[in-house]
Amino acid sequence: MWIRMRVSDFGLVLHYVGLFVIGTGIAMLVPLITALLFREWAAAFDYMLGSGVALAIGGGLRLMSDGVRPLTHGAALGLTALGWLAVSVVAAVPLAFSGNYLTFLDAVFDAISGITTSGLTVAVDLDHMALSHNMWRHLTHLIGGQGIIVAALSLAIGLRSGAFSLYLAEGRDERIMPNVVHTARFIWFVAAAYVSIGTVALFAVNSYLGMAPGRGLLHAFWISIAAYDTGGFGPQSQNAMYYHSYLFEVVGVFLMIAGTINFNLHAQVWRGDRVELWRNIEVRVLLVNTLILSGLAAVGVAALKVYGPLGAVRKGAYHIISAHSGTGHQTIYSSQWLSELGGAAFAAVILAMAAGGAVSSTAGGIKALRLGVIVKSIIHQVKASLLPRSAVITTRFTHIGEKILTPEVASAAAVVFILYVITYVTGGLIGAAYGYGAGEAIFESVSATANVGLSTGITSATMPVGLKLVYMLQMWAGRLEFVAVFSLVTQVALSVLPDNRRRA
Amino acid sequence: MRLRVLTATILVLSLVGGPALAFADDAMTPAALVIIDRERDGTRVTIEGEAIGEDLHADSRNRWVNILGGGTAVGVFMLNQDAGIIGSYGGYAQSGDVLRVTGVVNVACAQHAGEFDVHAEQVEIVSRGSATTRTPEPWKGVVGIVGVLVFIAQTRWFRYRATREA
Repeated sequence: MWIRMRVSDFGLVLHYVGLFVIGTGIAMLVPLITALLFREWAAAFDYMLGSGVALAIGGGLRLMSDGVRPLTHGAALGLTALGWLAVSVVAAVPLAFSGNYLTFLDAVFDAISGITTSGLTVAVDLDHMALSHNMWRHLTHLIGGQGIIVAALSLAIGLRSGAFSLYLAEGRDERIMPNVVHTARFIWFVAAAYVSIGTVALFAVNSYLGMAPGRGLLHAFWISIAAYDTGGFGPQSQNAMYYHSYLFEVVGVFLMIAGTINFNLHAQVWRGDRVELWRNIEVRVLLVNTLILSGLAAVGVAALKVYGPLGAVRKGAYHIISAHSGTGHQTIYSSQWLSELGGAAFAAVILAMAAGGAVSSTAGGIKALRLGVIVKSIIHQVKASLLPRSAVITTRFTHIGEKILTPEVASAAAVVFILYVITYVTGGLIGAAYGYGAGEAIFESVSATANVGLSTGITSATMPVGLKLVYMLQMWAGRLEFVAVFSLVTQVALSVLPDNRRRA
Repeated sequence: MRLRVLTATILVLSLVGGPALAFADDAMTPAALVIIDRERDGTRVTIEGEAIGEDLHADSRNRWVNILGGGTAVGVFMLNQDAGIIGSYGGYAQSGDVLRVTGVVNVACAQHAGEFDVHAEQVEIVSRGSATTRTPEPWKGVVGIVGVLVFIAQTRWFRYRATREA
């Protein structure tokens, strides 16, 4: 039996979507101030317009309900999916006026990419983009990386009821503190700590490179956000290649790894539980995966004999970590994936992107916990097949304490795994149908769905509109791990279809 | 007769083929450079493009300058004194100097741990950069202010409604 949402539930959902949109309008004050500080007057007007439009639309949506009734679980899922979409569309308004996007759809593409921390971009002439517009692009990573719901919860704006359902609907699997609002605030605290450390370190690197203090600080802040929130945007068209610096890449790798670790594990380590760090199933999966895939990449790179040993390690390991963490910072040109890194490294990067980081982190993809659970389930099944039927086998794994592998946990992991794989393949087939090479199409599809942002060059302002829409859908659904999006689609469909129960 | 035919052929080639031949010898863009035939790795090339951002420290004698052309930028490793002739770097408020750089292209530079770069041997300024005019559009500000006023009215209405229902 399907549970239909009532009209008043839709009103409540729109009310909360309005709050998110209002929050987006208020957040636009940051790029507005940036524009005023750096005398970017034309861009300042873009943010006056963007902020005013967001506030008016959000204020209107807020009137749809008084917001005092509790949210049902279904409504929370629908709200999450719709909220992310609405925030992305509103965030695109000032970008669309920047002169760096050919159409409004392109601005929405970048806004969705930013909010979902994907990092794929269709911006043109990025090297002449206003600092304020770059500030906004990177702020979308910061907002989306921690989560729009988490942002709202941490500020305790209006989300009086159904808070935990909302928190789960955003692709978070567990709470860190007993209170979900405190959990949200802790997530922001961790982000603030790492972004601050990254900004200081990268500002020192940029100063050493000779960048002016203002630009050096802004670049440090943006790259720290993009790396920690595993986003992947960069203020220059060359992305991480612009800086020509080992130190820059080392700090970036540190932030990417920090961003891909479960917030709960951060909390455990900060509480002094170092043992959890080494026994945690996610850490083990990430470590083993990274080693295997780095080895595969090294074989691929070495086979072509283009890079020396240092170059092979630098390019191979950097891109495996960038892919695994879902960051998407890139230090090679799109044309070099196959010609310089080779087929094995190309495949290793695709697998790293598909696998993704930890659950309850800023990373995307299938997630290490699910992969670990699936591997444990396979071992469990093999053991069961070898032992007498009467034997009772218990499989355990460590994830914030010791857990027992139950059929429910295993099947939930398998379902999400299958959904990701289907989406990866479907997007790849659509890309191939548009005439792109199969390998490149699969690469780009996995990059979009797993919210990575590495690109073989398919993603650009001149790519077909249909493919832009497909990648936007993949980024949105992948970030929310499908369930919230399916819930929204189902609820909209049910509201359109006639209710047979009433007739009966 | 043969001499006339030969003269006519040379004339036609110089008129029709001349520009093409000249283009073939001409500088390429960074966008064309990053997709060149890999057999040209380590050979001398000439590229032309706009200096962007700023020059960055490479070592005590050299700087990195990123050059943009055809939508792609490439890193050029050049002497401090060559970088010193650049007066303007492209950004939001200005266009950068357009440079013509002749140097050796490295698809995976051994000196720089695998970077795709050009080691400059000769750097010339083709044209100087200039300030970019971006005209502010006040109507956007008006729309923004109207939006804020509408939001204030909506908020007052929301609070009034909540108070009345309570």
